[in-house]
Amino acid sequence: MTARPQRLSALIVDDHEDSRAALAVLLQLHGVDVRTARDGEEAWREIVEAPPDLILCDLHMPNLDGFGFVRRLRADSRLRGTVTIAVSALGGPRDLIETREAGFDGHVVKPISEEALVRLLDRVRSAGPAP
Amino acid sequence: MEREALIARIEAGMSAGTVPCQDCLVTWFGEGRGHRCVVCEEPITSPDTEVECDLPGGGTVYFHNACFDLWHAALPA
Repeated sequence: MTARPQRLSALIVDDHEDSRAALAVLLQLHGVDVRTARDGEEAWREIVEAPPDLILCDLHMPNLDGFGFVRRLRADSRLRGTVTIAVSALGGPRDLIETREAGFDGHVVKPISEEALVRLLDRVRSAGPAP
Repeated sequence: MEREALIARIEAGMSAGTVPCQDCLVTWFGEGRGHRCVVCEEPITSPDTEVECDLPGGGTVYFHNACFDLWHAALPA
């Protein structure tokens, strides 16, 4: 595992403007540089240009949804190590199996609590899943 | 370990407080790194998937994939 820089960069992928904005504010309060995208296609263009340390990705979106997005990311050798977390209002047993099988590194139920965000950022800063 | 035996361990562990009754704050998926599964108490080794559960209030527990799915389904609604 590789320690990541203390100043993290994150990409929020969500088709709901209010959800993007609320999570962006929370991340910025914790010293994270934030970019946003409205769906998987827009996110793909963002990460190909400059991969972030962390992607927080909603699951159900138009154009390219979270499942399609993470499968495309894992298939690309340049990007497959990017820490990608599913952020969803759904957190039942079936939902977690689906996100795990699609290739996400983790799953957080939204709205994300401050405690969950801090734990997540600490993990990504200190080690994170192996790139 | 058989499914029924795992479910029995989960129920007993929840009653005894050795298996969490609260859902994870953050759930991580990765390759097994030798941590001991909180349900079956066997090590989780590669190439098995390890599910890492950050608990509310602090602490982390680890599960085999199959153990996690049974535990998660057994959590109180």
